[in-house]
Amino acid sequence: MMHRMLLILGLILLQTLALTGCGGSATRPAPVTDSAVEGAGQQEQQAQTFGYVDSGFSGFGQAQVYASQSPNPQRALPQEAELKERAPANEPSSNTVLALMQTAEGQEQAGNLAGAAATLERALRVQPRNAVLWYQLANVRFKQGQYARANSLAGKSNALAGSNPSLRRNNWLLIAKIKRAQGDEYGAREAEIKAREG
Amino acid sequence: MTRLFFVGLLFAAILGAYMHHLNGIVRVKFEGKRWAVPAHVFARPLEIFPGSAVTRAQLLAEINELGYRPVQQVDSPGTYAEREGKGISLHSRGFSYWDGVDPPRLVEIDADDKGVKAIRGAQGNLDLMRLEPVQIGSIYPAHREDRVLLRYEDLPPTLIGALLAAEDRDYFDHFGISLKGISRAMLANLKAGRTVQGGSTLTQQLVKNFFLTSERSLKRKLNEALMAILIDYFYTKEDILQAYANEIYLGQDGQRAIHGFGLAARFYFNRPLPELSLKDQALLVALIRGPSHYNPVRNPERARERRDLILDLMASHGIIQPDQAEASKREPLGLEISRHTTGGNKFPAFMDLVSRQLSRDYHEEDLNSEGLRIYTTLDPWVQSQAQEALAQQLAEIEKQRRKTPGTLEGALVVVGRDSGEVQAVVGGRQAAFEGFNRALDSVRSIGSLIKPPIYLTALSMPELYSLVTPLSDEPYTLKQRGAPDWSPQNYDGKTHGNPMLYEALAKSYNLATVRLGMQLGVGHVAETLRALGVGRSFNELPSMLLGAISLTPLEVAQVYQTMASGGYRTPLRTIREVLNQEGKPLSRYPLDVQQSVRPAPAYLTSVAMQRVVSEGTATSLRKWLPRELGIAGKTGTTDELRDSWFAGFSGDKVMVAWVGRDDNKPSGLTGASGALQVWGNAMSRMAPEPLDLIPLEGVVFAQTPCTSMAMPFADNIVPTEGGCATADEWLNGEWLPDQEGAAPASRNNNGWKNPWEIP
Repeated sequence: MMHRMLLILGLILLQTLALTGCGGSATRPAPVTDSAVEGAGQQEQQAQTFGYVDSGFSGFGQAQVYASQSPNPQRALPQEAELKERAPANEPSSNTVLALMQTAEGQEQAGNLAGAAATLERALRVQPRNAVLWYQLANVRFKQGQYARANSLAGKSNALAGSNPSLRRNNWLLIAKIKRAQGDEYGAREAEIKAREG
Repeated sequence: MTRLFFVGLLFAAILGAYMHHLNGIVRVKFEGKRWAVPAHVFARPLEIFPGSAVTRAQLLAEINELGYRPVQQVDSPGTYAEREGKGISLHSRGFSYWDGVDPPRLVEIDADDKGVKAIRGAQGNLDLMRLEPVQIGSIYPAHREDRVLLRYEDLPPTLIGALLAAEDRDYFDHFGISLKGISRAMLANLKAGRTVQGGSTLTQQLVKNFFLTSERSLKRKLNEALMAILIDYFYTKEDILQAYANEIYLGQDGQRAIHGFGLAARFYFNRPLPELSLKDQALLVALIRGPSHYNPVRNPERARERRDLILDLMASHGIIQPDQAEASKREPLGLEISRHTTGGNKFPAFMDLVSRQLSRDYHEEDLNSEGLRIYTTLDPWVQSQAQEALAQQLAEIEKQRRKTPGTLEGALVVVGRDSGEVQAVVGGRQAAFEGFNRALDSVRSIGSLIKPPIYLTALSMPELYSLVTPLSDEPYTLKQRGAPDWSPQNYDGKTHGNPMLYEALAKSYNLATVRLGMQLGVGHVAETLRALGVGRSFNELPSMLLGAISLTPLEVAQVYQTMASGGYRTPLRTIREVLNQEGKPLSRYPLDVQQSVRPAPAYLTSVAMQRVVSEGTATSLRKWLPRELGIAGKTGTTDELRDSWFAGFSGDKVMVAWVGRDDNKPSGLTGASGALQVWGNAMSRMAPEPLDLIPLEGVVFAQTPCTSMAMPFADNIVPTEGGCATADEWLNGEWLPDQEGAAPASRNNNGWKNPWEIP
């Protein structure tokens, strides 16, 4: 050891004779500080338009109100057919969004809720006004325990649901679950009534 | 003898203690975080899918921005070829996103001037892919060192070979310092009679840059050598080389220092390091000896000469074949220092907004040293179109109206209608330069942009107001104690009898609006404004009803986003995700919505705003966009034509335009002749989606005697015979709706405050 040290020392002395140049700079590391996490709380917002849907047109001079036909609760969530139906010319093909939905579903089943939410947000960038996507995102947020956010997302889905009573029903059922989880039994029942009404 | 032994022992002990001390320093630096790496800020990744409105031109602009090279044979990541007709062959680079990895892949994209038709991959058609995001800026520390960190595995073997051949031939054999190197250098120096060659190893060069100043003293030299030995003893050759490759100084870009091969590849060639050709690698190695002396921009010949020398060296060391060296030497330097990569930030106005949002959540120190990766919402295409549109249209207006060129200024903000994502921010005509950011900091009277929130307030009471409710546009004078009488006028100086509510908005009648606003109460209108997202405090005065409230274009964008998305306010976002240097998510900014006003009134207000464009003050938008798009919007003009505004939305975008003068003198422009033209110019470039308003629960379409068109009504409440009655007739009980529970009278009995009390 001693020998090696002396040898090294000698080398160093030698080395210093052969001076070299060229500068550089050193920087100070800064401590890592984490900040800002998901889920800034937001206010609960109430109020929804209740009542019946829909459209209609009557002859001149006579105003009429068209109440919606009774919804069919048997209908399942809109899938491919429905998405296609709503997609105008320059819109993503249903496959694009469906593929992302499937990915999100897989992530959700694997317990990767954050991943599912990210995938659904990506799908919403592709098709921002797809009411089903908003519903699914609401569902994931509910599972994550983000009740206020889930509630707003389900409401947004309803606003975009158009003539899709089954989706609206699912949204109300989700809102009922959210209310119940928040300890709002009255709100939950109210939402359940909405679900039944369509 | 014993004495000598003790002296030796003492000397060894001192040296040992000193080495121990140095070792501490070395380890802290080497095992801790080695560099302050600025946060790198990225645009949104471009999503490509069949049916997307991304045109061929837009696609090509994006891949050029990303530094993809046009080639004949598309065979490696970062290359593309335009096929005849419409297709583009592309070998994507692959990218690790916060929500998953997109692998590099070879695809054929069918795209024309309408959009993407299909994506064909090796295993059939693809439904979706994305291109890695364009870097739009960095957040620098004060000394402005920049880096793109690399791992040893990322270093091309030929680059390592060239580096060692040129700088340290015995690298893998020495122990931190090199006997051979030293003797070679000494010999050369003795021959020349001065210092012509250094015997420093890469390890020593690294030590010098890491720990020491550039002074030439014996002590520094000693420390350098000792530390080099320590580093070599404790760390692998690969680790040391990796640190060297990231540390080495390779040039200067204005105030920004270019460190490491990763950034140098980006800076000089606009490509990632693994995509560099032999000649490019040789140039980077050539720069080590003197980035300024061999600056390839200022001294291209000198740089080329040394590059060729390195290529020869590579050949003579067997790293490449001699014919490869010869072929490479025939090639020009081939720099691709685009105007964008010149250190500054590409879109300063947008970056300004990003920085403000970040500074709420992060310490400055973390932003400029932790190598954070910040993924924003910026759409570079939309941003550049908006910039061009503003500059072009302002010049056009100045020309047409014979104004002094350069006197007009403007701002544009573009956000996603439902996502609330800020896609573009233009802070002025000179968008490429940092300066007064009018989009964020210019607080101006909003004029008639206030009207939609007023009408929204009214439509929130469907029992009392519908789109066809007649308003009074008769002269109006407000008498207030201690203040002069206030008698607002219409823009045309006339009165218009009893316009229907939607007409009054479409034609922007001031008298009808003031009367309506006074019926509603200034406080109620103020509440609506706050619900729509106005965070700033303002005076709740009657003059507010004609827009005597000052907001920035960005704040206006939030207000209109809330209305455009059916009353669901999505707080405007510029950041999607922040990852740390290792790609681990630190914070995400999730999609959030808050129901702020009820969907039905927001919907009706949007319908009325479509009338602004189809038959109101904004009909000249027709010059820019087809009517079928159903654009909704509102013009705004302030006193003496100081501010010209237009805010509106298509199916996918909300955009706000402001035009005026920085000195706040009259610009001579109305909302329609100024901002609307800028807005139209910009929107016409962005392939907007049609605004297809989705009928809501409870909204019914019906025809009433007042208008030949079917109009939507909220909450199933449709006025019948009395639907065309004026508010006065209603008040006097001359008409009651036959809808159960909808009569104002019954509401009054329940303690409903009569909204028609005019103070």
